[in-house]
Amino acid sequence: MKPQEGERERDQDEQQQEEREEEQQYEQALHPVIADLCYHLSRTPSLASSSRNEGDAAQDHRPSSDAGADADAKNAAPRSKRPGLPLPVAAIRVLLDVIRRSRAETMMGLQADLRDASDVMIAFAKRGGPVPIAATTSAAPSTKYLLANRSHIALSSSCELFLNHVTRSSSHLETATPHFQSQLLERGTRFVEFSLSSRDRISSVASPFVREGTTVLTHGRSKVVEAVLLRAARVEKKRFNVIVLEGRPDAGGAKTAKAYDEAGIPTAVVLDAAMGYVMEKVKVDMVLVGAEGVVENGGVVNKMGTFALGVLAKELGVPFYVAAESYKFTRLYPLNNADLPEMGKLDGGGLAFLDTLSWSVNSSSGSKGGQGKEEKKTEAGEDGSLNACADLSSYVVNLSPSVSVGNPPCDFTPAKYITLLFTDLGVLTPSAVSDELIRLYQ
Amino acid sequence: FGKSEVVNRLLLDAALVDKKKFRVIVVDARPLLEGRDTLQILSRAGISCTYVLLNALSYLMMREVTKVFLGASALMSNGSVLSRIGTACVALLANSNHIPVLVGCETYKICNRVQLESITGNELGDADEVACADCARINPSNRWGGFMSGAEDEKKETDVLTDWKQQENLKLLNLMYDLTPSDFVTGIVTEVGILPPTSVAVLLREMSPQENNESAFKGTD
Repeated sequence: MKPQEGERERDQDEQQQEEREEEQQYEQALHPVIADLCYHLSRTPSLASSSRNEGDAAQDHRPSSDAGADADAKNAAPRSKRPGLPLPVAAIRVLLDVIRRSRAETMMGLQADLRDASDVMIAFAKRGGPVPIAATTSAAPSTKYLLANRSHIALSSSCELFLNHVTRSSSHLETATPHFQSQLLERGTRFVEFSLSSRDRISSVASPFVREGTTVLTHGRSKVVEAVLLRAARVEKKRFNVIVLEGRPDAGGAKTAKAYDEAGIPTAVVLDAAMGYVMEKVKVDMVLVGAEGVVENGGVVNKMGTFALGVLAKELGVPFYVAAESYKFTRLYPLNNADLPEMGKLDGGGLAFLDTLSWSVNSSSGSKGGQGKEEKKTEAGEDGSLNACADLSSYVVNLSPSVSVGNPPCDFTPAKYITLLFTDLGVLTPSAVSDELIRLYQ
Repeated sequence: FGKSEVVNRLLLDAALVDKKKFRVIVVDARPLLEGRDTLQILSRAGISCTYVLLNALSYLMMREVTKVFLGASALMSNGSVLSRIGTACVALLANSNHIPVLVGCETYKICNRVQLESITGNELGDADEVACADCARINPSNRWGGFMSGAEDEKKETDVLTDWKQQENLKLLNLMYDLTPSDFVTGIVTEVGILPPTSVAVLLREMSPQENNESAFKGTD
C-alpha cells in the first residue's frame, strides 16, 4: 500500500494515473466489448489501489461517455461491431476532462497539465496502444493493440491541435480561473463536436464524386471511406462497383468488403499486388483511400501500399482521392519515404509478417470471401483458391531468423500523386493543406 | 551551392550542436567562387567536405547526394526562388534524380512579385570577370588571388578574351541571379516552419495585417 499512497500524494503522478484511467475509460467507449475488463486491469500496481479513485472517476466519466454514446447514436449500426468513437476524438475528450479536473491556477499550469496528459497518450499510442486483456476462461492473458498496424500520427496531431486551440483561445478570454475553465471547456466541447461530425461532412462533400456506374478502387480499412461509399449507396442511391485490395497483413480491405456487401454494393476483393492489373483490366474510374495523417506538403501517410497505388493511379490517369478529417493534419514534413518517422513497433506482437506467410490472417478474409461469393463480382478464378481453407498447413513457410522480415505499417504518398482531398473543411487541393495548417496553428 | 548564411548556420548547428555525422559537398561556380568561403567555414568546424565545380554536378546527383540545401536571395509569391546564378541548375538536376531540395529562406525575403523566368529584373555583374579565365576574382573580396599564378594555358586564354570590347559581335554577360521554379523545390525552410512552395502566398497573407482572418473552425472562434 505504501508506494501507492506515496504516489497518490503527489499531484502530478496522481493526475497521470487518472489520465491512464481516463484513457482506459475511453477505451471502454471505444470497445464496449471489453468494457468491464478495464476495471480489473492492473497495468501498474498503483492502478489496482486507486480503484477508489476509479469509483469517483466512474461517476464523472459516465456522463461524458454517455454523451459520447448519444452523439454516436446515429452510427448505431457499425458501433456494435466497431467503435464509433475514433481514438483521436476520445483523446480530446480525455484532455477536456483534464481541464475539468485541473487544479492549475494559471494558464501556464493548465497548459502544462494538458501537455503532460497528451504526452502520456502519445507515448501509449507509439507503443501501439497495448491494452492488456486479463485471462478469461477460454483465453490466456494477452495484449490487445489499439493501434495495431496503424500510426500514432492522428492521435498526436489531434492532441497538438487541441492544445493549440486552448492556447489561442486564452488570449481572447479573461484569466480569472473558474470562469476561464468553463469557457475553455465550452470551446473544447465544440471542438469535439466539430470533430465528431466531421465524418458526416466528409461523406456529404465526397459522395457527389462517386458517380453512377463507376468503379471505385479502395485500399485499407478507413471508416471515413466507408462512410462516403455507404452514403453514396444508401442515401444517394447510386449504383457503382467497389474493388477492394485485400489489405495485408491485417485483412483490412476484406473487412470493409463485408460492410459494402451488406449495403448491397457489388464488391470485389483482389490481392494487393493486383492493383495495377485491376486498374487497367476493370477500368477503374477513381481511387479513394483514407489517411492516418495528412502532412504539411499535402502528402498523406496511410496504410502500406498507398504510395504504390498513388504512383500507379497517376501513371494510368486515374484520379486519386484521399478522405481525411481535419484533425489529422499535422506539421510533419517528410521529404520522401525515407524520411518518415518510425512507426510504432509492436514488439513482434499480433501482426508480425510471418503471420501472413502462414495464411492465418488470410483465412479470415477467405471465409468472408467464401460466404459472400455468390453476391460478389469476382475476377476469373481469383477467389477460387480461398475456398480451400481446409489444408492451410501446406502454405506455412518457416523462415530461419537470419532472414530479416520487415513490416512497417504505413508509407508516405507525396502530394503530386494526390488529386484532391475530401476533408471536413471542404474539398481541398494538396497545396491548400498547408494553408489550412498555417491557419489552424496560427 | 555557393555561399548562404542560412545554410552554413544550419550545417554548423547540425554538426556542432546536434553532433550529427554527415558529409557536405560544396558546389561552386565562376566567377564569384563564393563556395570557397563556405568550404573554409565548414571544414574549419570539422565537417568533412568535398568541393566541386558546377560541371561535376550530374555525377554527384546520381551517386553521392541524398539532400540538397540551397540559400535564397528572394522568394516570389508563387514559390519560385531567386538565388545566385547556378542554383537553378542544381535544383533541376536534383529534381530529375528524385533528390529532395530544401531552400532556406527567412520570411522577410518574401516579395510580392511573381517572376516567370530568370532574365527579368536580373542584375549584371562585371563583364570582365567572365572574360578573365584566371580563377581569381579581381576584387577586394578576393583572398585567393595570390595563389593563382597563371599557367601558360591560362595566359593564352586570357589573351584571347582581353580584347572582347573591341569585337563588335561579342557581348559578355555576367548575370548574378537566376530563378528556380517552384516545381523543383521540395520544401522551403523558414523561421515559422517548413512549408511547401505553394504556401508562400499564404505566408504573405498571414504576415500582412488583415482584419478578416477567418479560421477553419468558424463556429468555435
